[in-house]
Amino acid sequence: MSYRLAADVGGTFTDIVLLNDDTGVYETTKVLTTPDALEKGILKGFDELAGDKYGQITSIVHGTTSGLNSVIERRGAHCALVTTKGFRDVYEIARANRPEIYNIRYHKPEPLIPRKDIYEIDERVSFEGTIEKKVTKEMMREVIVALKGKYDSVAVCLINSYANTKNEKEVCRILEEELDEGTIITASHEIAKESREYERVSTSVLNAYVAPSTRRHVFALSEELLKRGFGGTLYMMQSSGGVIRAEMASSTAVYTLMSGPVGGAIGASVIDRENIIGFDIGGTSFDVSIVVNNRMETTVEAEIEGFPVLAPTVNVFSIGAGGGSIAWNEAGGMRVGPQSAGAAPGPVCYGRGGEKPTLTDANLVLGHMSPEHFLGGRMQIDAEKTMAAFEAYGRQFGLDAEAAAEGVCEIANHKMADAIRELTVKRGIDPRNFSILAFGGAGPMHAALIAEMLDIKEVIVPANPGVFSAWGMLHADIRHDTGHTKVCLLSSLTEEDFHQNFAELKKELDEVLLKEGLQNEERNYICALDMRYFGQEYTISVDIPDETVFDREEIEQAYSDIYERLYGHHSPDNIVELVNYRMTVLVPVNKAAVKRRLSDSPAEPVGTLQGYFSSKKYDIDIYARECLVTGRKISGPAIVTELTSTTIVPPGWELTVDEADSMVMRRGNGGTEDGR
Amino acid sequence: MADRVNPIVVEIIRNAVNSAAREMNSCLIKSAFGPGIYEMKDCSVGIFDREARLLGQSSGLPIFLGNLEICIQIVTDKIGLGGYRKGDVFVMNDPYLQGTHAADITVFSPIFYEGRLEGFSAVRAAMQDMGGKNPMGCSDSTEVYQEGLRIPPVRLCSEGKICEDVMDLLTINSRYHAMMRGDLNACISACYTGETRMGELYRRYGTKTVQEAALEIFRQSELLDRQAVAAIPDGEYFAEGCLDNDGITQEERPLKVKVTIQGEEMTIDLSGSSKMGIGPINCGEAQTIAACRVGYKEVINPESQVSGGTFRNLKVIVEKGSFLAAEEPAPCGWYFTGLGLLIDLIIKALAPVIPQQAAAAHYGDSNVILFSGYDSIRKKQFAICEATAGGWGAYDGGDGQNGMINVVNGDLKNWGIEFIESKYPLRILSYKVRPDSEGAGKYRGGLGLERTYRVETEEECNLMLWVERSKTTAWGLLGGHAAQAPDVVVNPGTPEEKHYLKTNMLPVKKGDIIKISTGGGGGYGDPGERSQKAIESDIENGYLTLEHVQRLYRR
Repeated sequence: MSYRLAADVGGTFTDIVLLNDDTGVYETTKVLTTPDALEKGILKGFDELAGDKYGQITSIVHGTTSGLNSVIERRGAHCALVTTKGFRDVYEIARANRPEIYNIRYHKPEPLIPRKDIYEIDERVSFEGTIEKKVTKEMMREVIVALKGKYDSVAVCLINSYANTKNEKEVCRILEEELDEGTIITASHEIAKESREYERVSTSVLNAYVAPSTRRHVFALSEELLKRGFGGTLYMMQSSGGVIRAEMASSTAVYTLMSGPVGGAIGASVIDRENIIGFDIGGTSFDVSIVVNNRMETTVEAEIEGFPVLAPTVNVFSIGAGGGSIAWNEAGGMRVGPQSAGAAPGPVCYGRGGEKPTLTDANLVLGHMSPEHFLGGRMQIDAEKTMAAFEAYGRQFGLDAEAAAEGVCEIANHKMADAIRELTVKRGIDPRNFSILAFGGAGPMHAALIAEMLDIKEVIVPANPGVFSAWGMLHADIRHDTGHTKVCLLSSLTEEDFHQNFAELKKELDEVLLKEGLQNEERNYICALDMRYFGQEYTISVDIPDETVFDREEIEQAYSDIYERLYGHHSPDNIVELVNYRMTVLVPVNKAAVKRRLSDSPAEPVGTLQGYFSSKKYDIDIYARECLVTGRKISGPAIVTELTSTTIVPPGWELTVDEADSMVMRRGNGGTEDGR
Repeated sequence: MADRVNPIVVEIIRNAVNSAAREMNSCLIKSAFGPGIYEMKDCSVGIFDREARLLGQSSGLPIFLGNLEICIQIVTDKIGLGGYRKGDVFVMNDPYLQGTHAADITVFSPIFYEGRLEGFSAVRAAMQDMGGKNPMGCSDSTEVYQEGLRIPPVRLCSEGKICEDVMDLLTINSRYHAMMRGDLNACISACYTGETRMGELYRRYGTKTVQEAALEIFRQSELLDRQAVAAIPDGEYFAEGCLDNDGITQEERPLKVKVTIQGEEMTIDLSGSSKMGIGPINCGEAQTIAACRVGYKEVINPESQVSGGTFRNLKVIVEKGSFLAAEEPAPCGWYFTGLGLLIDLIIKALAPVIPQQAAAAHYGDSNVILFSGYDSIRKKQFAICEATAGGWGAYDGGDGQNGMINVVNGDLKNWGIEFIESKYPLRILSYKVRPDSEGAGKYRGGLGLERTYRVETEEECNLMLWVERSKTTAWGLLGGHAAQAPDVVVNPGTPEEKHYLKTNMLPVKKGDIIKISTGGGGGYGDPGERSQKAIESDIENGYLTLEHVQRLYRR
């Protein structure tokens, strides 16, 4: 037997999935995250599921929000930055913009490296890549003295280094020679070989800031796994949705910063539907990802805590609406969120001191969750206090408790539906042609109601929705991305340049794979060109299906088509400009399908409760998920409970369990007209 | 209560309209051709009801806040509600009607649903060039006619079809025909997006419900504003400052603010301010009112959404003939210079009674630097115009920010060094914070910035500068000091060294060095009370010099 393991390390819980590659059967568990030494929590979970099988495990993949948290909490490494003379303050000045336009006390994000730790070298490269002042050891003497023995990690980002890497390479070489062994050096051109100095320096600094702790973590985890007899490969999840060998991840740590929420998006991309809107509703946020034609959407630039990051990142959009969102009254208007009761004090119904009604509480009042089955009955729910909170809240608007709760729920659902509509329409996508995939604790509770608002016909709730993100990670391909800036008009692009640029990128990627120990494995390359109309700043990425064929007209046509789809117009008279070449390599991993579960016993409700949909009172059947095996069918209104999640089947909806053990909900003929 | 719309529906509609406005905004920004829109977000969008009352907006430039409706109102007054046809799009930029200047274009379109006019979607966006005597603007105009094409309200689209003759007329007057056409297309498409999204809302809830919900949304905004103003002690509060000059004559241009709080009402009276200037500092009244609204909004519920009910308890008084109520043919190219000062003065006037919401002044002006000429490297004409960042004001509990864009420019971003060098015949020699430029205080003001350019073209190159607020620099509050003034120096440290603040089409040549330094932000509280730890950090980081600290912070 051979197995694979995945761990999704969140802020509170670490979710673990063990997959048997031969049978497709998997087991899951949830353990508490151990922030001070992440490997402890991870290993506890691993031991629980695979204590006796470490020798049979071929690979382990894990994603973590710990790097991100260390940025948020400013717990990263003591770093320095080395840059070109005259530009010490580029990092602090940033783009000088002020996103909160009425806030006279707005603060830019606090720099991760203070000014005193930023050093200048008197070198210069021109925008064309000409070296005007060469780097010498002599000019670095003072900087070396200042750096030696004082920093764990050093970022190097010189002006115009994207156009010629020579000076930057030389600075790094000298630093490696002169500084203590173990000092991590981040070269900006290795992290992001793109134009725009602030965005590049920001990315490099973030990398320098999290690299030491990533390295420590990988080292500690590998060592413990080795002790337990694990002989396979340890991978880390990257923000791009691909995995990388863990020992390589420490030098490109910034690529793993947003790896927490991507597991769900990967999972969504392997579900048997072409077009999916995947979402997860947690305590404080609603996270959405979009899969079009089986491909998850990635962006080439993301933002972390206000700092730009030039790194391919799966698009996961968050809005501040979750179970903990507080319902409040502003001048007689009903408002829900974005303030959240969080985990402490939490919703009123948790009985931990929360006084303000939340979305979770509204679901309880409406009978959309079963108090005795919540978290497998492990959590005591204070229904009486919750009811009282909603009575008081409703009174302010002349509503009874149920109507107020339904209002809160509806306002939140509409907010989430609006967010999905903005995201899809912005991309020229019609959400009605998509299926919703709902996971996480509360996603399946709201999914069908949100689907109604968007006129979406199908909602899928996968097996084990509470650990879906970890399951998704098991399906991540090995992935590397590269790109470089070569600005030229499309009309003057030569076939030779086109081939040469992609050939260079391919060579770069193959070298990375070789470093990773992959020589002859099957691989797929995805090529793209970032283009814009001459005069624009933002670019659009256009896939080049076959980089060995150069067809300028086809490239231009593809660009116009995408432009038209996104903005409803394009400008055939305008000149198209090519900005960046990009290439991604994917080395596929096994995709083990989830096996169906069979049973002879019929699906019987385990109880009923009274609840509300569209202001009508219903007797709602409660089902246990384990009894809903492949082929079973139930009709709403119903609730399906399982340890980590609750699914709502509204009146007029039907639920069937498919071959992959997913619950598929569709609106029957008797469905309500809209979300109201 | 009985005839009131269900509060749940009101809230859903409120969120949905703002969502529609955000969608319009992203449509505009992402498809625009001019960097003013896509990079600087020099734009604003709103959705309005039939009576031009704001239903929802997406934040863009704050000073565009609350004067889109006047553009709609002007057209409605002219053609009547019956004059609109589905698919019509109007365009205008007349500074005396909408405020602002020629480069700012207003585009709006009626929203029809089932054949009936229900409202409007509107966009304000900055064009790169609207003609006028110098590329991208000048600092020495004396008549509006020198500042570019002046457009009264005209139809850009008629019943869904672009009026190509009008489009040609507008774009041919810009130095960048194609860019302007692209930007106008983006505006049109944004307006139509607003109509589509509102149509979905009408379909779901019915137009009557949406109208009633709007009234309830207005009621909520108005109530919140009235409560907030009522919490400020009644009285008359004063502040004044001046602009350095009007760009042509040398005399100072005073700006006087009297804020009166009487119960729930606020009046901002600008009487006694300078008369109209000969140079381009004048501002149409509509824009002056909008700026007062920004100052108001910074202290009255800054977090809450603006709607048609906001500002109902705000009255603005501007004297006829004032430079803040410009009349034909007064030039208006730099209308926003006075507004940056005006907004800070409103806060200054109110600071004694609401110190918790106030902050000291920021450096205050866009400090614009513009190079134009012929690029001998790329063999073409070029023009690059940049607003520069400076220091912001300190407040109770925090230092001001170093190097951040001025209030009237909202979320505008600076130009990157690599971007400039790769597109224009300029070399950036340095970009840094300017030590000791802050207003000292217990909490110190932010530092100004310093950027040094070297001219690289061998052909013609001209420098335009509009740098202001050297006389009324950013003031401090409650014992905090005022900050350093801005300065521009050409060829520093050479025999030809010369200082400027404003100049138009000054010839410069290859190898010339131009250093622009912006002002800092004002301090808050007595500098003697600044914590030792904060001072040590300032010195260690090189923000303040030891000598400066000894002199101003009494150490």
